Amino acid sequence: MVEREIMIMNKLGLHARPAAQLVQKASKFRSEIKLKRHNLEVNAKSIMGVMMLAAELGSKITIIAEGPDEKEATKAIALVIQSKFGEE
Amino acid sequence: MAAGGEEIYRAVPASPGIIIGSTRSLSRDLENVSADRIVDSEVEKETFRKAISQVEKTLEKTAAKVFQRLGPEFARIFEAQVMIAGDEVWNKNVEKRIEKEKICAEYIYHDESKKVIRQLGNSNDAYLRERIQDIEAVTARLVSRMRGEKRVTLRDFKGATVLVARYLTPGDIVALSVRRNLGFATGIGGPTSHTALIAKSLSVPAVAGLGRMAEEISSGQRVIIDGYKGLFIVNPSASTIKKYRRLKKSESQFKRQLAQLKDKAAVTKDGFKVDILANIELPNEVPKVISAGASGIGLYRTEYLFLTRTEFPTFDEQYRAYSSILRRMGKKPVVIRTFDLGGDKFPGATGKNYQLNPFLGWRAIRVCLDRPDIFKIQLKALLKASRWGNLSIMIPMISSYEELVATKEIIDECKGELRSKRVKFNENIPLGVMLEVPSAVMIAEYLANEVDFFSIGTNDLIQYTMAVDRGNELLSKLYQSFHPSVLSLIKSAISAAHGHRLKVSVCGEMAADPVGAVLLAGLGIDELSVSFQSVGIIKKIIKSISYTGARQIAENALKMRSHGEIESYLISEFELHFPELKPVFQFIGRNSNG
Repeated sequence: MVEREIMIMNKLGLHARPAAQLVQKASKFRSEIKLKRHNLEVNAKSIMGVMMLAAELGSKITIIAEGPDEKEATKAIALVIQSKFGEE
Repeated sequence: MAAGGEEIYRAVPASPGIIIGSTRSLSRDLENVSADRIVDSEVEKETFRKAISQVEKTLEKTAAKVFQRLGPEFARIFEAQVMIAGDEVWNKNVEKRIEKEKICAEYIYHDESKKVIRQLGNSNDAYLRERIQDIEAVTARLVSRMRGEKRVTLRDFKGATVLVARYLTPGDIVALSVRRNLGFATGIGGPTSHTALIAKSLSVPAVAGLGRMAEEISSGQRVIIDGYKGLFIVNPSASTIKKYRRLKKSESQFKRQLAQLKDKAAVTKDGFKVDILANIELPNEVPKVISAGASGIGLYRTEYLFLTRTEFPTFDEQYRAYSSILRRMGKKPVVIRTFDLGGDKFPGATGKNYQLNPFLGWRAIRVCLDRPDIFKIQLKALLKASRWGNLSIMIPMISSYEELVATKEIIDECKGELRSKRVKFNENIPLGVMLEVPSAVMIAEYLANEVDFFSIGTNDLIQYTMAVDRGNELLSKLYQSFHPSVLSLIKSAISAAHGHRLKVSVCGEMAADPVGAVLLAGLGIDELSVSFQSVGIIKKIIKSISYTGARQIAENALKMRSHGEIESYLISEFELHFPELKPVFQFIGRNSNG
């Protein structure tokens, strides 16, 4: 299992479109991928789940991946978030 | 509501026009989804899978139809809903619960939705909270599919239909408005609500603010919507129906009359030109602007890009929106105003949801100068689009000289960045400022040295001069368009402009008021910019007056002491000189007695 904490840095937070990008990326991996914020844990492959995090600018979320490609998955998702979803 | 005598309800006029038809009530009630036990979870799961995929398909189809008819800005409304319906992980989870709990799918789906809605409802972020509407919309669609109810298909209703609901989402309106002969009546909302704006831009008659009435009325009732006066008439009597049929007839006669002026220039009888341009909120209004015979777009309010979306528009999206307007307008002038966010408009978009005094707060150019990152994206998109037509950039809410200088520095920076990337744009793109804060009018002489044109925004100028919040109903009597101070500010703005050989326009409501238009023409205004619905009427007025006569009226008005005195003088002059224009009062929402 791989865990990594990361900060949401795009101004808009995890809105519908960034959330969709994240879900798309997560769905490419076979591992089970969860996102956690405060006490709420959701499936990273679900748009409803990711929206439910209501993660705004500056909020910290944890990526938890488990499965055959857990390392690559964590890295790829962190990268999408760090690149601020290509927002600017 | 029992069938009986005529009942007249006063509501808020949301979009002009008249419709005589029967009601179709649209329930917003998701509370009655009960946890019914099911026998066979395999069958239930299969039914659910079919239903949710049908919902997804319908949404995709609607989005495509809307894209085709109204453009990408409107189709975007359905983007999030399609994604929600197609969320496989989410839907699998619903199936798991069906199997475990042996309860009907719609209850479980709704129950799961509520979890997300609760979380989003706690968010401080207005964008995120808006997604609640999308989730509710998808859930409502699924519930009615599962129950085998027919979706609101207006096809069942022949003839004119008035859709009644507590509220309508932009998605509802857009999806429904592809149908002709439609009217809207909502329980909540006011004249500047999103519902009203979209209804206006689609020319669908609407009233808002009906209260509980909107939820209690049943389908199939005969009603009349008077979108001019804001009346909702249930069970109209034969004589009322006759009266409104007559009114509808004279409305279309009047419109035909105005349509004949389409290609004529707006010139007074003694040869003075007052150009009539159009204000737009949404790019889909461009064809209507052209067919109304406006000589250009005098104000495109770009903040309405936020009406159908939840995220800041990217550079590409803005560039596409601006250049498509410019291309369609050809050589005709197009004035695009930079974001006027904050105040009463899309406060969430600025990231600040709450300001104690938003109109005197962080708004328009103040936001843009503090957020050059956002501002520069817009300016660069405008500059790049400038090569496609006759574009001018206009800055809202300037109140000091320094703000204008800072704005121009940012524009120069943007030009430099584009040049270094070898992007072509109009190097001499005209720049103008809105005069809507009294302080700006008083330093108009200095501002005039720095810009190419002025536009007087009378709505804000009146509210800031009178210290009256124009949205506050308690103060509506104090919101005085013809207060002597307002007239004197307009006069001095015009003379500052003309002293520097600049053109000056008015783009507020005063320009669309028949008597206001006469006064402004008399004060020497060069251009009037009004909604596409008013272009024909105002053009007709300009063609009916003489500049010398209007100037005399303006001079007399300038000597009067109060709004009341000036307004009744203007109306009496109007009725005296243009008795044939009296019907315009009915179609512009002004009572001829003031």
